[in-house]
Amino acid sequence: MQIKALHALVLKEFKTELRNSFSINSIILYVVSTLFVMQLAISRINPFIWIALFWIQLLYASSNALSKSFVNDGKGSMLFYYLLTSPNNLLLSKMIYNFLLLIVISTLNFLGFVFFFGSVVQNLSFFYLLIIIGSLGLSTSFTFISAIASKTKGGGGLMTILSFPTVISQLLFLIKLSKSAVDGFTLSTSANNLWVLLSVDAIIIAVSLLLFPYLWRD
Amino acid sequence: MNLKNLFIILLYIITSSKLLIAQTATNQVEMADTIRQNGKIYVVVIALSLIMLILLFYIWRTDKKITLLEKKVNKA
Amino acid sequence: MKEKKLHFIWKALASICLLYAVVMGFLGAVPRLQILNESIRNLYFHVPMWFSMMTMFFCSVFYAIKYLYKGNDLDDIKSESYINVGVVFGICGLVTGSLWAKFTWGQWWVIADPKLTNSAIVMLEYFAYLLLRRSITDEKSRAKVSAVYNIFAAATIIPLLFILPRMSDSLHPGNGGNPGFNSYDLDSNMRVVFYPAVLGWVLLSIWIASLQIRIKKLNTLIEDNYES
Repeated sequence: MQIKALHALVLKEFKTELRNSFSINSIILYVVSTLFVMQLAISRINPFIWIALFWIQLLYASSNALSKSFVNDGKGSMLFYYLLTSPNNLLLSKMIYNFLLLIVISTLNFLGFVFFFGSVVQNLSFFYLLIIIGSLGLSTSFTFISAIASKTKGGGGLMTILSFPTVISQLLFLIKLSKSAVDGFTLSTSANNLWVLLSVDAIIIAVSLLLFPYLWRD
Repeated sequence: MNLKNLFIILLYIITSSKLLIAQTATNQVEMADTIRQNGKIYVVVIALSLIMLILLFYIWRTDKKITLLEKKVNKA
Repeated sequence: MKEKKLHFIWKALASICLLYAVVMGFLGAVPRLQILNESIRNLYFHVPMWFSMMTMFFCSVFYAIKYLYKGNDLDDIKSESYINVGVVFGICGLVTGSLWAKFTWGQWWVIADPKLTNSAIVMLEYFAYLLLRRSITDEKSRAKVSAVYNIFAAATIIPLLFILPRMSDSLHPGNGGNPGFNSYDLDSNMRVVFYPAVLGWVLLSIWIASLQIRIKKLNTLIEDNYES
């Protein structure tokens, strides 16, 4: 896993993104429009609903955004990559790119929520840490699942189904930790849950790295 | 966690003591003793073992059929 | 001939264990516990369902790894059949557990219980596997992708079903800090029926899976012969 090659690949992803900025714009539009609809429906919000809506929103936005990561590559480019670099590099580059993308989306989401519904979060730094960890976990699982789903003809629906179980267990912990962030607890009290979340992320990354070369050979 | 266990133990003690007061000393927990006493438990046992036997027999028959098919295919 | 004898032995053993478990499950003595009363006998059926499911999924992953390593189509057939049977046993486990929960805890499903949630997640993962298989048409690609997903799903089972429930509070016996069967009144009376029951159901699941594998093998053989 050479750093230079990785760096080049990640840059390439950014460039493709900037060149046709279709996907990032559509995600931003999606986030803003759903926030707007929510704002129409809800007049006052209590912290639990805030947390639930935030994570649901993030789940669907990330699912939308990341499902395109492997699918849009097309047949020719796969051969191109094969000749150029090792499979793990490709997967890692996509994961890093998706992770950064997801951080941007979730920050945007968070700002949107604060704007429309007010900030319910008391321990802000902890919550932002949660967002980062959540983005890491979600991006890695979605990247790997989209690699699998790109081989099938099932389309977007299949990808949601495939990723649902892996994502659900992360969401459980994220929501539990968000509740403690909202209540203003410090990092130390929830450290146990955080470690579990991080280890789930680590497992997913490790397994994806192990398995991707096999998918790759097609 | 400890509080929850304590609560359960307390609940246990309270309910069992209530039962103790309400019933005779020999029968502390309600079990299916009456069914056993009229011998009706054997109906349950026989019914379920019949079901089990029938299912096992069906599986065994399928096994035999498959073995026959395998022999046929291997010969041809 | 010797192979036939071997087959006969373990299948006969499965049948005997099962019949024994059914008969003694009702006639045998059980400890008298407050909330459970007689329903503790469900232990002889509900838990072996999960044991069988785990065995099936473990065998399936073994063959998935073998398939990725060697590319033998038979391994893919085996992997799929084991998951099919495992899913059936998992559904049985969920249904029996839910029934038991209704009578002892008062509800069909408890919302935040880690073992229940995680077993539902695991079942969903394997349903997704079955869906994945149906959605890919090219055979080689299907086998490879489903083997990859299989390994991925199996890797997630280990933390979900084994590690996480022990860490948190739960109504389930064997969780929330207690080590497992030892602390839950599994006295010697129950052990005598419980272990054969587990053995019987696990062997039965292997038997059913082996039948499915043989049918599929025969089908592929027949297809190949028709084509040529």
